[in-house]
Amino acid sequence: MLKFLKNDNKKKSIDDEKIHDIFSLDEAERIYFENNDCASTHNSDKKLHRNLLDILNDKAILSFYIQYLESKNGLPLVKFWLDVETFKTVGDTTSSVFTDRAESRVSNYDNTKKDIRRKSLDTGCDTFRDYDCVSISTTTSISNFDETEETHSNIEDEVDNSRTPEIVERMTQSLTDDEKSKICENNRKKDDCDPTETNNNSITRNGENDESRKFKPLILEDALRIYRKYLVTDSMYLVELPAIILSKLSLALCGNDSETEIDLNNLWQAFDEAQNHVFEVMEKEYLSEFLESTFYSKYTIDILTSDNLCFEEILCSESALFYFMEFLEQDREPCKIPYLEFWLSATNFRKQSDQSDDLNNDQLRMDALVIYEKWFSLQATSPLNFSNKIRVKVEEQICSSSTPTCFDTPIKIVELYLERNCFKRFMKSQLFFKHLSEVMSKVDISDKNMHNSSGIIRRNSSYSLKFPSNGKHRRTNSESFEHKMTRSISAQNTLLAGLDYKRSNKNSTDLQIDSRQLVDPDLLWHRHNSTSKLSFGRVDAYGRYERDFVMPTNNHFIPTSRSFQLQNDIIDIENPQSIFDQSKWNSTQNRLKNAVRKFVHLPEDTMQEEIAWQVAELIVKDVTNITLQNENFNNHS
Amino acid sequence: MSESYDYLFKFLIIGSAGSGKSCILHNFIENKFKEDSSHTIGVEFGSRVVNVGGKTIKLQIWDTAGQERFRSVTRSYYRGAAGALLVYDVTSRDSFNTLSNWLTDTRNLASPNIIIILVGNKKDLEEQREVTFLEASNFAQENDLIFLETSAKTGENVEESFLKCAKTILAKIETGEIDIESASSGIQFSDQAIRNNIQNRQKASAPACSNCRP
Repeated sequence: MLKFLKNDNKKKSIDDEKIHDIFSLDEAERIYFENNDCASTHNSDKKLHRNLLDILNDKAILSFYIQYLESKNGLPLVKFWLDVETFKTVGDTTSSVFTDRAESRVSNYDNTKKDIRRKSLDTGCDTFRDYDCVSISTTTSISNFDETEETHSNIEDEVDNSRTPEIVERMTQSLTDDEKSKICENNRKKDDCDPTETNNNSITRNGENDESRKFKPLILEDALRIYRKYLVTDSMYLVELPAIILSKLSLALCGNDSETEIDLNNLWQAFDEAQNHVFEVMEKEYLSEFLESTFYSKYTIDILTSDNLCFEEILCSESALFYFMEFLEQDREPCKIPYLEFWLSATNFRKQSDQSDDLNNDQLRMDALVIYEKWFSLQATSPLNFSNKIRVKVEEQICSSSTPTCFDTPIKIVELYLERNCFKRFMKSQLFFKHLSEVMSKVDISDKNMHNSSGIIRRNSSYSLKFPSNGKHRRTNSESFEHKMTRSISAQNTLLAGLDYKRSNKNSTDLQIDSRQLVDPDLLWHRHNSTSKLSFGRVDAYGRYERDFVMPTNNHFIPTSRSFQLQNDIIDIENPQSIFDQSKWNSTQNRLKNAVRKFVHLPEDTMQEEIAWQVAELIVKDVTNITLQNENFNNHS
Repeated sequence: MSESYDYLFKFLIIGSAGSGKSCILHNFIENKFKEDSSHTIGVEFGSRVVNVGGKTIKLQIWDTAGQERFRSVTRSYYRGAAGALLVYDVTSRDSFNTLSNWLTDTRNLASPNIIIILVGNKKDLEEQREVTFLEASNFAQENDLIFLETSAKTGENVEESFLKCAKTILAKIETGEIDIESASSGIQFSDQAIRNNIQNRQKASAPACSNCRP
């Protein structure tokens, strides 16, 4: 039956395709079900997180969050949270292994393991542990060779993934040797656990007891260490907890010393409470500020400029959504808007049902009906024209007990539909670049403000456009550089249209300069780049060329062979060394090239790129022409 | 690109459930009253281009759900809004009492420069009124809000409240109080608008806004 429907659908959509060139909703349905058959739905790994738990679980953003907290003196909070998390995962694993019966142990352990994996809390903590291990292996060269070697491959991965090697440095600086050894021990203990668990089947009940006895003191030791590190008043990593939680924790720890029977449950409960409290503090006091901070902006830029940016991230980041919505309205087909509206409502419906603890089924059904009546029913106010199959399925699910998930399939289909139809065009649109440039300007403003004061912020290597933020480049007008950036970014490829014009007017006298500027040459330098919005630099009052692009280490902005002639033209006003030092040039880091690619809007099309380079060349030539002419002008007068 | 406006503002409509937020939006966009409207799930949106002081402004309006259970969902949309309509129902004392909660939420989550207009809706139901005009305007004064009473049914003051909000934002942009380049301002501008703005600012030799940032 299902197969029949599918085939039917397929046929229909293929026919549709022949008629329209556009990706249809039917097509989206078909693709969705096909993918669904062979593999589970692409489990989205959203990267533009907004809630704290996600942030703590994703090591890429976690490193930014840690940097942020460090700048706000909130580092102990996140360290405490992560330490307790490690402690708990280790504890969970061991306890579930030793308290359960031998038969169920294996499966149970597997479950916990899966659980840990799924929550990926482990990775977050691993980041920490591995970083620490790096420092140990490099600085103190402790004898745990087997261990460090084992983690070494991990370390490399970690460092690569997070792309912030400096954090390793900084993290280790802030850790004492004691902590390092402690964390290493944590690691070792975990390693110890592993072999015993692989041999689970052969372990008898007696062995089980022995092991649980063996591990209890270790767990306690860990607990005490965490306590000493964060909760003792003179600790440098003091985490302030309310008295109730603190006393409960102390009691759980002290009680264990006197009694022979260890009540680990109490202990874990106390730690849970403490951890939850810290989580709340982080969420309340730091989260929204973090999302506004330059660290988050940097992360956003990383995501937005990465090659595998996926559509869901646009939909899930409400600032990007603002632009996407505007894009849809400006787009040729405003009929896509109801789909986005449906997507919003349905995902919000889903989120709400996930979050509320006491599931009120009537209420949920009411909400689902509101959505159904607006977009699905045959009398819908704004019908989305899903196939009958989908509609019936939704109807069934609303009436059955699986109400919260009733829109999951349509959500995915709409996502696919919007992605195929709009995502690529949105990525090339001016609005997307405005969004990007806004986030970038935010980073730059903060960088400029904080550069001198704290020195904490370092430029992250992974965003592509850099603009001057220090006194190296003189500025002749009061206009701040964000303005220029915004304009240069949002400059469209209308330049290409102007290409012919520019070619025929190589005489710089005809460069749209009005006569006043010829009479008063000084005016020229206050011009607002009206002729060429795509500015990579400008000529200052002394006729010198200033680049808008910064070369962070003097080796990222070395031209390709094509642009080489271009650079030749301005060689006399540029620093010749940096340009000719081709050996330093690294093709993967050619930021300007990437930037030009973005303007051209066709990443693969080398022809377009060629033209863009030519245009760039022309612009630079024009600028130099004006400069030379001005010198002549001054000489004559 | 068909960019026929000078600015694009992100607006929010917030307030307790049943105060008529969606109806206000509907009236503003469609110019008619929506008789049988259901409650909003999460968030809905609409847009309209208005003309204020010679400038064309496009308003992208996010209409949020008032139900308490949607609070955590709708909160995520506050960020980056340039203006907000805080709506209460003049016939419901409860909706008025919760205003301060909404206000703290907005001040905490939205951009610091957000312009909030207090809107007392259902003005037409005079005989059921529970909140007096004076009381509400006192509240507005204490909290530095602009205050209007509207009726989504008759359409009275609906457009005015949006226009007033837009006007205030525009005035702040022109005096340089709001930095339109800031990513969190909730304001988009066409290239022409920003150029004019820079020129204006240079003429007035006002300090560039980016310098006064903390």
